[in-house]
Amino acid sequence: MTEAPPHHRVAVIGSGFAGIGMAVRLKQAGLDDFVVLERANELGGTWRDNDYPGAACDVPSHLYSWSFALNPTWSRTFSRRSEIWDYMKRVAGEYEIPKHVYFDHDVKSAHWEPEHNRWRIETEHGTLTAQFLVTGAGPLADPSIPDIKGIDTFEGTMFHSARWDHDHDLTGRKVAVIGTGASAIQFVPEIQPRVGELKLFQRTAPWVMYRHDRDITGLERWLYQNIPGAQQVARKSIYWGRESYIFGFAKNPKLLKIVEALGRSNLNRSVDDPELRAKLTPSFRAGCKRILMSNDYYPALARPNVDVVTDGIVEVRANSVVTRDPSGEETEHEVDTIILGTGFHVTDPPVAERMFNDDGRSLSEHWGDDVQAYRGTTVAGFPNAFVLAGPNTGLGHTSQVFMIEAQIRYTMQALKYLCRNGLDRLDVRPEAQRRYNDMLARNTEGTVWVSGGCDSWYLNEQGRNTTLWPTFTWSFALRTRWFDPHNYDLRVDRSRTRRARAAA
Amino acid sequence: MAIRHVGPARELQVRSDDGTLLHVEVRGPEDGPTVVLSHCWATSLASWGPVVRELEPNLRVVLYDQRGHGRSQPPLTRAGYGPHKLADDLCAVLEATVPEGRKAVVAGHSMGGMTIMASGERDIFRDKAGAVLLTNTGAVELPQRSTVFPLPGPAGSLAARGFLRAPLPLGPRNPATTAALKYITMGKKADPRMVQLCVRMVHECNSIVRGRWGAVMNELDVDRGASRITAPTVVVAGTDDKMTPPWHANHMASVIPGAILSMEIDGAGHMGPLEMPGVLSEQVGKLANEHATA
Repeated sequence: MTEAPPHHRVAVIGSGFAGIGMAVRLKQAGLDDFVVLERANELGGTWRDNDYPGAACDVPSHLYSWSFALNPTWSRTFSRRSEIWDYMKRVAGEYEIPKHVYFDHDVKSAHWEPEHNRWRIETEHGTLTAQFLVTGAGPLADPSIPDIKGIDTFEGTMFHSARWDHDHDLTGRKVAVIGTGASAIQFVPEIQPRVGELKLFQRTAPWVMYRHDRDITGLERWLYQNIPGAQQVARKSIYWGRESYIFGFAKNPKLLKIVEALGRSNLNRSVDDPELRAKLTPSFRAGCKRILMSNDYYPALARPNVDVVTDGIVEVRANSVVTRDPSGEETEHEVDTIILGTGFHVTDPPVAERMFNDDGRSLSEHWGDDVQAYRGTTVAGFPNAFVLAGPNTGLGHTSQVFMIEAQIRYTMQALKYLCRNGLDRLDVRPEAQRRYNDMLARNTEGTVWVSGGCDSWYLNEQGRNTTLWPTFTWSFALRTRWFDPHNYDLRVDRSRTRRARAAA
Repeated sequence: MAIRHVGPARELQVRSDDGTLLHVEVRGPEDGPTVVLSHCWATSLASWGPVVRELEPNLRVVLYDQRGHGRSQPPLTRAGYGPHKLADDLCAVLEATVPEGRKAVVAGHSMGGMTIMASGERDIFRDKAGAVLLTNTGAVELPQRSTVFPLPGPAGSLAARGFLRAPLPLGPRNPATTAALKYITMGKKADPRMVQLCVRMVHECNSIVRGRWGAVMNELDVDRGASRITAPTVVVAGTDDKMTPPWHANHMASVIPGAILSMEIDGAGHMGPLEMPGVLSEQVGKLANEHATA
């Protein structure tokens, strides 16, 4: 017989904002028997991986941070990736989270074993078991590589923006950038002055807003450092300001015409060429796809070495990208580098392919096209598992960390409830999950994400919203404020009953 | 005596175990015996200035700002405060500045001394510390033994607790805070220029950080670490020290196995490096001659 694998109370997958945040809350609650499984050799998740030039957050840093670790010394209103990553590592370090992290432990599979009441987790470097599984793997974890004919036959250098090849010098290169999402609009202005020629392949033009990005003044920092509560005032102001966007996104999309006017003026200010302006003018309601923020994206595209290509890509050849215009005529664009700004597996999170219930069915099989959870966190049929940044917890307007922290609070409430009441298993009732998702569907009706006339990564292939929280975020925070035992099947821990204790 | 160790220092940044960046200054010849100085609560490495200026010029002097003080990063969360964090920082500085195989004299004033005692069990400290000097410091019962508030029984210690942890902003420097700080921290005969230096440093310290560290010291108990210090140790106290009265020196001398000398300086208050730089530099110099390796 082989030795039993190490057992822990809680196993957390991933060490981004969700994983570190969860670990900190476990520590604060005094639960030290947990491990964090990280596939890379450093902490940081999405903010570790996305090190492309110009990477920054498009939510103000004073809001995009943990509520238990306000940083009074953010240097900019919208911090750069290196500063955010450094912040994450310092917070984790202060709580001594690295001691709990198994680095280079990519989770291969997690199987629920009902007879032992535990999750059996297979990683690259061995097996372990845990009573509770919390995945903080996140939707922006795995790059999405487009399925274009001949993409494997390309002989130049090709990489995804989340796996940037820093050894590849772009100076003087002929570069193709595929995609015009949140990543592309950040790195295109950074690489444009260096490259010889830049072809930007755009399927749909995004709305790009002016970003009030500035250095935070010494006076502000002094206030945040010396006046208790000053930073909370700033943080809450940003929160409520951002929260007001929901009136446009979800309540009355007509209000978004104001946003569109701002977007158009941002475009007109930087781009004079009427042809280019037409290419860059979005054809759908603002907010339907993620609204982007940049001050240097449009000016970069107006430079002579940039060409915006709106024809669809039909093929990639050894040294070129081939597009076809609406009349059917093909054009071959010669390039030596392709940078994919094509986003992530959002509606089909890869971690779902690695979690298996007691029938051996994976979570993604179980879901099929209907990705759903209860309160974004628990899934019927997958006991003792919590999905952070799970279905319908994504946001288009404010800090994802706010949602993650709400889920962490809910998870902690659940764990505490089980501990206090001598329970060892929880499984959400299918009817509760169904009711919850009906509520989500009702709330999604009439929002810009389904009525705005675009095809975005927010919607799955059937056009159903499986990623976004469709209303105010404070309403999510209230829903996850307390654990609700009546919506769960709970099991009594028999080793802790009076009879078991008497027998022992 | 000639003034020594003036001129620009070599500055470096050292990352502590948890990622906090610490500001470190090195003075004197690279190949001299090393002295590492750890400063007290609510000041900065500048509080060792008067001592450094009297140290032998052949010594290599390492100074660093405790986290949240001077130019070192303040912690982001409450978890970043604690005696073990002070020890992490000292060990990171020792690792970065004391060359492989050499021993240094490690001296600490007040919170700096607590830092040293908290490090007593660490392998890096045991490996790098050839001798120790502790001045105006204590290992346990700081609010209980404090005589800052001459109130009867528990009232005095309660007041001391509140004073230590209060994140009270001090506002601009003024005669009232100067008089109060002089009363609390220094002896009656203190040099007015040194009083001004002390007041300037305390006013520069962030009040929230100060309160957090004060809260740590309210609960401090580093007896365990102190009982593992086997390097030769000199303990210095001032008879007029209200924050860490001489009781602490006696206690530490009895707990630390390596203690070789315990001195009480008549009329000195809590700010040893500002009030008795001559005594401290002489003791540090002696320890460096006998126990530090160049």
